[in-house]
Amino acid sequence: MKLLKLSFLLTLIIMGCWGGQLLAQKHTISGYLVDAQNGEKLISAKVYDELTAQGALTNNFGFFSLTLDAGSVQLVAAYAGYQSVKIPFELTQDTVLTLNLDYYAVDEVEIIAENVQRIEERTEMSTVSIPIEQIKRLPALLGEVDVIKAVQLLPGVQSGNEGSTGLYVRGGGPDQNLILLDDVPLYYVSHLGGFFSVFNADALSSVKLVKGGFPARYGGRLSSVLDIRMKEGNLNKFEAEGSISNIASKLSIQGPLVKGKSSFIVSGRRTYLDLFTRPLSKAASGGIGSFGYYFYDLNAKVNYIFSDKDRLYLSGYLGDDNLGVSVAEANGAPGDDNYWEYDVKNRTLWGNKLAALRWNHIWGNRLFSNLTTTFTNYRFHVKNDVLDVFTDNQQITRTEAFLGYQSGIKDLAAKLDFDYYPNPNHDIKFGISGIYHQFTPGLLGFRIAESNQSLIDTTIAAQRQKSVEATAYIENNFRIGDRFSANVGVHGVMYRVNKKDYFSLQPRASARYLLTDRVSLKGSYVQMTQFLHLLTNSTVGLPIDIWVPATDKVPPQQSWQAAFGVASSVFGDQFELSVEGYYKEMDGMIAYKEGTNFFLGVAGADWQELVETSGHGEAYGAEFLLQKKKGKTTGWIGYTLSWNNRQFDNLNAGQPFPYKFDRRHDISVVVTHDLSDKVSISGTWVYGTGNALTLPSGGYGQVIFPNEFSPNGSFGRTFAGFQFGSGIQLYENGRNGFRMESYHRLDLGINFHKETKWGERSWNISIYNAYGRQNPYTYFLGRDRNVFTGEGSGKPVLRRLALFPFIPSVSYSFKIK
Amino acid sequence: MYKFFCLFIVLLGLLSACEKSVELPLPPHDPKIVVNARLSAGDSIEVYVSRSYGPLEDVDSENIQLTDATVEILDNGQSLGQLAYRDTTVQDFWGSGEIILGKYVLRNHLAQADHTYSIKVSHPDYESVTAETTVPKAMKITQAEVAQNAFRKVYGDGYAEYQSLLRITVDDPAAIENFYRINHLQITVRNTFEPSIPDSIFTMDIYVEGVAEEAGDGGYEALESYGKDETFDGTSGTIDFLCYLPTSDLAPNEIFDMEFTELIITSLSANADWYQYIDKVNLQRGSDIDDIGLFPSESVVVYTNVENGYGIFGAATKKTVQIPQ
Repeated sequence: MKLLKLSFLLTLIIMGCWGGQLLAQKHTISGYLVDAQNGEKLISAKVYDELTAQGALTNNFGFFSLTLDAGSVQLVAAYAGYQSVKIPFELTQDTVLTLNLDYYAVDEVEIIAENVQRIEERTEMSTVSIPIEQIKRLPALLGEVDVIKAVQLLPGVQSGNEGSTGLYVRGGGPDQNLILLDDVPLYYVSHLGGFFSVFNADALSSVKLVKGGFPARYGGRLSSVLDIRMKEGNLNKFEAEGSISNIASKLSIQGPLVKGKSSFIVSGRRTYLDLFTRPLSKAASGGIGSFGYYFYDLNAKVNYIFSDKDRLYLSGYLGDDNLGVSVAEANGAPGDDNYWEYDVKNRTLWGNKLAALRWNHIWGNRLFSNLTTTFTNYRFHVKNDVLDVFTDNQQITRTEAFLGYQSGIKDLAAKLDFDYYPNPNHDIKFGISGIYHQFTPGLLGFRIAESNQSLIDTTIAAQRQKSVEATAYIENNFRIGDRFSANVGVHGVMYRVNKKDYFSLQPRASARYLLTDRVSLKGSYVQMTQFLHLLTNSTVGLPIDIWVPATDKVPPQQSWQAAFGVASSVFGDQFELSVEGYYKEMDGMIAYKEGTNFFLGVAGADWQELVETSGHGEAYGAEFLLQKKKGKTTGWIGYTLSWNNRQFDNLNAGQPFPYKFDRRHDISVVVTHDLSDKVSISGTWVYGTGNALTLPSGGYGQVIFPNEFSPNGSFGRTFAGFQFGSGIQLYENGRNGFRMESYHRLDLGINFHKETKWGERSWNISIYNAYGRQNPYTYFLGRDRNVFTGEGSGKPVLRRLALFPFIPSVSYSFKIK
Repeated sequence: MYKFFCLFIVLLGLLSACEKSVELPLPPHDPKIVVNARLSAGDSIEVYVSRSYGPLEDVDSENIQLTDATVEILDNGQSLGQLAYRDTTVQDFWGSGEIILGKYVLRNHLAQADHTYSIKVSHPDYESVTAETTVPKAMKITQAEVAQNAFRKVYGDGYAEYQSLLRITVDDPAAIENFYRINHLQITVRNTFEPSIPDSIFTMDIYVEGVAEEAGDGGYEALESYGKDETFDGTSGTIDFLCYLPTSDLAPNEIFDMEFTELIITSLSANADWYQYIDKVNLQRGSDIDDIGLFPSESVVVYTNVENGYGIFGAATKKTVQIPQ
């Protein structure tokens, strides 16, 4: 059956490559589309011949190739936010062009109206791009602009808990998103427990989210692809930009290394909470202890243009969260009779390192290749050092102890991608890749030495896992006639772990049919396989979440998704409208077994024994997006109606239960408006049905019978007794059977811009949660008693924990040109 | 700079005020009858009857015990009559006070193995409940031996001790699920000293941790207290239990003056109802460490076989045997 599917797909992919090939004389126009000011590549820009209406889109490196009949050509290049250009010329031979888009006319280039590819023309569906400049103008928590938080405002994307940067796309989990930074997958993208993401907006050039209809070139995750591209650096002149906000400062510097040939960009960000918390906590503890936390990000990229055909890119990212707590105290001096001293230091560190080396090469005018080699390292470390010294009868005893824990994942990968443009009706992409994964699910080290003599030196390790993933894909984005276009492909994977091989063949197809010039119908069907799992035991995006591979005992996750929708440009092309319905099924999901708690048993244990496997997920719903990208007022209104369930044989008595982020309704309204050249305002309002939560619905007493005890921690006794109060908890509503209150929040922002003699500067004032809604973070059962004063009735109560009330923030940013 | 610093302090203060707890009403709980009973062959039939309570209800033993319920029991479909309420007080679970037990007892009747008992509990304020269970035969141990200090276990903190195994051979009844555990092990030991010193004989109480399963380090771990008959149903089978002897700090070659003469084993043979119930209860209790809810364990739904109510009407038969060595 799979072979049949494959042969059908390959036929479709190759089909039509002959269409249009029967013509006599043809030549190819190829080259790059770049920003005239800084040389940055323009991605997904439209290049077409106005006379024949045949065209192409630039790829992720700004490259295009368009093969046309010899003769007169009126070549138009268009990109959102840029003035389109039209170049009339006689096509008599293969031609290589670098097209610069700007707001100014250039000699033979005629300025024409913007004519970018409209939403109904695009074959892709379930895909949204958000301009970085728009993201920067949105209100931000504590003044820190965040790409992930902007993506959370899109329909079909749930944000998880208050303030977190988790992405839950169309019913998927946070592990099911392929988050790519310059083609390199990132595993943990949060800082400060999830309140900020690792992406520094100053260093980014584009953000694209794919929720369904995945082209065959993407693979490895079930639910979404977040494709983030870094800037390449200004090829023409030096620039610096930066900002200072309540908690962090950023600085980016870019410029040419060799003018017109090579450029660089370096961008850094660091928080400075620790600069204040350390002295304050030290003062509060009487000089005994101190506490500090900071995170930093460092992005860097260099590129070099060897020739029209060869370019090299080297990019890297380094980011860590650092939490340090220390307590130290001493009595007397060494040698004194009652001398004692202790010094406890804790350091918790987690973060990513990645590097990517990419080589673009153009083979002829129709074949573009990109060779990428990448390295990723995500790690989570905890180190505790304890020193204890005491004197007894002038005998000094010095005890040193160390407790360390680490987990992480390392990837080494290489991939080779080709873009082949045989004619204007076909854009064929194909490639191969290989990834070597190394997982450290948990490593616990423990040492004690007394007076320099080692008493204990031991390491407990969950088995380190290694796996290999080899991938090949081919896809064809083709047009048949003026109204029909499709992207059909297949993605194949071979995965090996513990001598167990998995094979996966994933057909992908999406298509659009233009009903009228402004309305199209779209549909897609995809199958996806994921060879990774994320062990997570709470709703908080903690760094202790552990990435683990599919193994011989824990099979990979698989899904299929079908989507159908309508897309249209409305109100004179001012708005883009899309309405989509989707249905997705997921298999091979994992969840912790009943009663499992990370703090009780995961560290050092075999994680495979702690999880239920073969879980089934079902998600379906409808999404509505009305987006305005042009004019003084821009933004979007998004609405999602969705259902999202899970089923495991050994959980919830085998019955389906709602996923914790199952939200029936989710609304987001995003608006930015330019009041003048100097002042712009922005606002976002979000509403979501409350998250699902498991809470006891009651309880009952338990009789303890003589000698009935367990190795798992229950208690033994020698007489029958009755236990109440903290007896057996009831879950009559089932798993996730309780609904939190609904979530809604209004954020407001105002930006003041000013051109200065050295560049530009702007002030941003943001108010997070402007009307102070107490949005629930979690609920728990407790007692009505003040733990400090003891006041209260002592009766059981349900408590709601709310974070982030009304929070104003100010940030200052500048750009030196 | 001074102004900036002041602003920062103000904002920090605002952040610290973010955490707030509020009280909310929950949907009312509809109380149901709770039955707690573990029948044992050869023992009298005792049933504890109470009611369930809501999550926000402030309960104590008095306001959840049902002292005026009607409890009727049937043996293989034949009514044995009603159970009488016996007003009894015992120590509470923690041993710190006395509580009233809602205990109902069937006078002049002992439960019998292989009999199926059903129960019906009625109360004017609650929906009636029913349950059924079959009393298992006692564990038929045909052979038992102790492998003393079989493996030296080194723990994460560097502490080491020897693990021992109690190997039980049992004749298992066919076509019925049985779950076996060892409640108590005593070993009678003859200590042999110098020929001039008379042997001493004494009995050791041994801690049996549970069913021995192979751990990754070559030693054993006990994750289950009950051994299952799934691999030897209806035949003779063996189960290893992990235990620790008082000599667990000695290597086998260091133990030369001890001779086991007899094993006194108190076993429990449980039916599937009781096993499923106690397994989930232990799981729920063992994972209950976080009251705040920030790092919750996965919730555990406790098994019940009580129709329209909660609790357990299960059975487990106890027996003590002496096995000469």
